Amino acid sequence: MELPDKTHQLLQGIHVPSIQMPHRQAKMRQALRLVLENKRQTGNIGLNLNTMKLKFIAPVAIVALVAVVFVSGVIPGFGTVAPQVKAQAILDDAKVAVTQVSEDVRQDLQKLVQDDNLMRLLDEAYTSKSLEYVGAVTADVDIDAQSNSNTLLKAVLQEVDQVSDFSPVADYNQTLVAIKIDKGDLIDFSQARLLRYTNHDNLAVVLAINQDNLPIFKVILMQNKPANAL
Amino acid sequence: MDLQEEKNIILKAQKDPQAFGLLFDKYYPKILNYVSHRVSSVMLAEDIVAETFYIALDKLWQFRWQGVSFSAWLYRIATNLISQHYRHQHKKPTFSLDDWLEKTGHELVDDGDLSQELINAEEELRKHTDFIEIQKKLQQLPERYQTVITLRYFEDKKIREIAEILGKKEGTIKSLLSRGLGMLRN
Repeated sequence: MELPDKTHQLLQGIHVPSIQMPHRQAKMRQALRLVLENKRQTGNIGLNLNTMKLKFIAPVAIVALVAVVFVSGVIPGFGTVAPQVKAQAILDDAKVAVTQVSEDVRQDLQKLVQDDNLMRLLDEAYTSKSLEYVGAVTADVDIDAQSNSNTLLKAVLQEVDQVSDFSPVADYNQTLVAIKIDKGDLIDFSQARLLRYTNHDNLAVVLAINQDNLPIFKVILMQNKPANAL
Repeated sequence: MDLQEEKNIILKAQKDPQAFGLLFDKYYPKILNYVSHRVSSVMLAEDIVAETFYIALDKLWQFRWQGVSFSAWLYRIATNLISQHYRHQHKKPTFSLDDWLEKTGHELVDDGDLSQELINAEEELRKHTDFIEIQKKLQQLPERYQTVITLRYFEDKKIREIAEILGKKEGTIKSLLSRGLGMLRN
């Protein structure tokens, strides 16, 4: 192979930075462990292969669900969940708990969250964690009064506690918070991915929407649906 | 860990996902460095690496041993995620929450050790000015050239290994490298 010599040599001679992050590696390892625990508890698809039944039935359930959503002719990705009886029969077999979410709720979420990635994550949260939608509220928080993002989020949740019936929010340690900064078309979504790595009972997606340079916090609230409600 | 040991761990992990931790520990640093070299941000790289291992864990039951290191699969997943990131970025510009908080004067603080580690890693990445210079030029090339050049020169992979990672023939990799280097030179 003929190589452009100088470029080849330059690249071969360059000192490539090497990064080590053992603490963050350990944190991520722990997060993956939580995924395992969560999946074992919920009997979720793909991962828990201890039962052969799950291995084969779960993909069928997914295909069936998708098919029903498309057949129903509603908006792909945001369509209504399949008719309860039919879906539940499939899901019972697959031992996957899915919360039935009405089209109104989905549209409500869609207005708040114009981001496909977040919606995908929320969908996963619904399907894998049997979360139910509680509501969406606006939290009035003075961002300048907060010393860091942790206190900011805590203040947001405290405010949510004041203005809603979402009492489990009071237990901050049991509440998973995903924050999304929406500034026109600018979105950082890295934090929301944490959704996948936690096993908390409650979920609050905090959207910090920049309006006239003042952040307004919209909070989507979800909580674990009791098993017997499914 | 030789290939046979690795195969045994994968087979074990397919039945008992806890065993996946051994693979994670072995390959996390390599995949983190690879992604960091591609995307110029440790924070973003960490996010992509998390996604990489999540997908690997989730799809492990589909993995079929073909006598190739497990890392080839991880590199391929990471490469696909990097591509997705760039495609998404073109459609919808993104910015870092940290940067935004910094610009607006708000401090983002989390666990001290974890934060400091990230800062150190970002600094390590930035202090290699020659590397950054090359990386900037590299990022102007089409993605397929970025991938092969990064794997060959930054990750020190052999042509055969790159072919395994990308699922292409060795001749194709050689051609991509040659053309990529030519474009870089010009």
